[in-house]
Amino acid sequence: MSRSLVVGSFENGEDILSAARAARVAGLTIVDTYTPYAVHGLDTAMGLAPSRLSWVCLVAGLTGAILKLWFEWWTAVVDWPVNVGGKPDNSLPAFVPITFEVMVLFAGLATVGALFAVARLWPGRRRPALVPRTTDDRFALVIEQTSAEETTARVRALFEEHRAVAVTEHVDEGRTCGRGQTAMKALNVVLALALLAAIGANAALDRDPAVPARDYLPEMAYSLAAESYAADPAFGSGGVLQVPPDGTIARGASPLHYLATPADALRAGLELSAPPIDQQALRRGATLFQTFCAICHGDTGVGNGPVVARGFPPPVSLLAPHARDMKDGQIFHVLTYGQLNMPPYASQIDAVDRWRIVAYVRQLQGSQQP
Amino acid sequence: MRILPPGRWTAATACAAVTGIAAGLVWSPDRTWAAMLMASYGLLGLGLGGLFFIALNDACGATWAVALRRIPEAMVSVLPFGAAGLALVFAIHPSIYPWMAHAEHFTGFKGFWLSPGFFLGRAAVYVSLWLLFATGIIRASRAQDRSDHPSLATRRTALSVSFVVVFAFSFWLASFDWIMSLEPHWYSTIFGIYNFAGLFTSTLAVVILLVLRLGASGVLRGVVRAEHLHDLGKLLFAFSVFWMYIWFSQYMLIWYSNLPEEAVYFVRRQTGWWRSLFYLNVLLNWAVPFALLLPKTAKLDRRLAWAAVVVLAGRVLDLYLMVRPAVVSGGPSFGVWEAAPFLLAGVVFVVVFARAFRRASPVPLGDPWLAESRSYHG
Repeated sequence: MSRSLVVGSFENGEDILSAARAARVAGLTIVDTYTPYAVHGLDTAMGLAPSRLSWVCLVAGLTGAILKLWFEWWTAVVDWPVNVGGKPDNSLPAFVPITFEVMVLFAGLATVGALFAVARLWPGRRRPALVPRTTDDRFALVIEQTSAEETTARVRALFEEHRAVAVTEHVDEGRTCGRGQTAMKALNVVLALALLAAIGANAALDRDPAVPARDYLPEMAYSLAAESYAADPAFGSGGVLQVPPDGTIARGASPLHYLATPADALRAGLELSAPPIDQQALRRGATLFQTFCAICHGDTGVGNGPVVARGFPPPVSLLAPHARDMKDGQIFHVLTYGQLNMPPYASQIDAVDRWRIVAYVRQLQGSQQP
Repeated sequence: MRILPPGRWTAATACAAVTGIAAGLVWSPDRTWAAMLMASYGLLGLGLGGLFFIALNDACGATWAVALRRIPEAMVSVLPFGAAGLALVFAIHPSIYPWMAHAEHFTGFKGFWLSPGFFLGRAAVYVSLWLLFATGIIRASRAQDRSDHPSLATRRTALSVSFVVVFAFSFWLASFDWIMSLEPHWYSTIFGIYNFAGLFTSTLAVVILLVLRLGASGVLRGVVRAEHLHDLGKLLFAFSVFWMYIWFSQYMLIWYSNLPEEAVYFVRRQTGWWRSLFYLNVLLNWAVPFALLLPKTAKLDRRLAWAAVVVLAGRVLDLYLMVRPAVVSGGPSFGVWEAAPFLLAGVVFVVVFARAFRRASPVPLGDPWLAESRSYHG
């Protein structure tokens, strides 16, 4: 059945409110309104009956609460009682939070679902907008012509009285969906039925509790390789994980046989020599110096870093004769084991980088007068 | 203007209440002082709640309640009377607090916190802060009636935002001091929020009853709209649920951990006849108003008033359950000694409110948002 519609577009919520009220007073049939946001009071102005969605919300919420309460009781009392802190199995306070959550979940999903159902919205459904700008800044009021005396001219006059910016006429053929939409609808039904069938089949299948359930991807749960901390009688120690033999050195490590004493620092100066260094390594040394050393020693090494400026005891200048006379290996020892107020840096800077810092300190000393 | 019952009835009720209190102080001082503490604290809560209602609306730029603002404003005037009641208790019967009576002795920080001088000093600071903000906010509101200078609205917003923060901390500590320290070995950090929930729910209930009365037959006829009642009803509903939420949050954690020094609070309140009151509290403060106010239409008809009355009864019971088991041993009892202080608090509220309400224009005529409040769609 085709019906002829008159659509008025308005610029704001107040105008469409007054137009809808006037249209009702004039006895016109309001088909619907389209607004970019919910206009307060429009439902009463249109004469809509109170929404029944709140009943869906109430019933679904109660259903969720009751189901969850029963399920809590069934799991905690009937199926698998567990003693929690000596409390009775049937302890209502413990059930309340989750019951509340499930109530809200049921109520929320059911209300949104019911809204979609009532508004006939489903995936793939297309509803062409009569006035596309209602998604942005227009408010449209749609009137149906139900009798001959409700002439378009009369409706148009009423709309314009309420500051309508455009009035258009449409003929609704009554076809709500095209062929593509019908196909989509059918697909949705098929998918829903398939899901229901799967759930039903799952519920109908008998399970023997004596047969262990099947593992999905068992190699993830049960590794072929030995577990590190498992027992293993093949070894004398009785476990999979073995203690390394004495004198083992970690891959890439080069042990230093020194103590953190001034005497050993001197010895290191005699025994260790700096590896060859290139420009790139020297730049790295400069960066490391500015990161770790300059905070006390200062950018130039004279011992005026920001920490010193705030009261930390100043270190001896790296440019002093005493420091210039130090051997490379001795500076490396200081970096590694610390000296006086300076902490050891072995844990923060690896050996290769420490040698680069030594090279940069040498460059600093060479570049400035004592 | 019909706010008050005829003067001789007010006077007679006040006389009866004062006589009841005097007799109670002679024959059953413990029960009477406990009720004095509850009634004063409840009365103070209505004044403070009125101020918080104004501040909350101002702070978030809400305009719907502007037309009704003179009602909470006048409610604030009862604040000093509630404080005076508390001062009476602190001054004449400090031994209501076991640590004041040296029945309990604490060392370290707790001993310092619960020392009489510091306790009274803190109370003075809380009340002075509240009165300071109350004066500032209400003065700015009244000044708007005479001047349309925009700085007044800005000042109200600034004061309100600051008050919300100050109120959160000060009332939280005040509830610890005045109510929780009745049982000084028991503590619950949520107690302040729980007390706030009761304070604001009862405030909303009183605002609703006053709006209904002044809107139906008084000076606010034609000002109060269905939209206002609907929104106030939604707030009452929401804060009744909030009260339940906080009540349960406090209860469940203590129930779950089941530590003797915490659980003793609820054990005491679930023994013997206390148990019935314990559940009645939940019914009055949440279940009944929840069921009553659930439909939209309920917020627009007589059920709103009934819900408000039930919530107020629930507030009295809630205060009773907080204070009484800590102060008087044995089962619950409610007689003349309990009724008289609450009756006096009621009379003080009505008289002080009516006087304060008459002092200013019943509608904030100078507020720039008055038109909005009188025409908005809910």
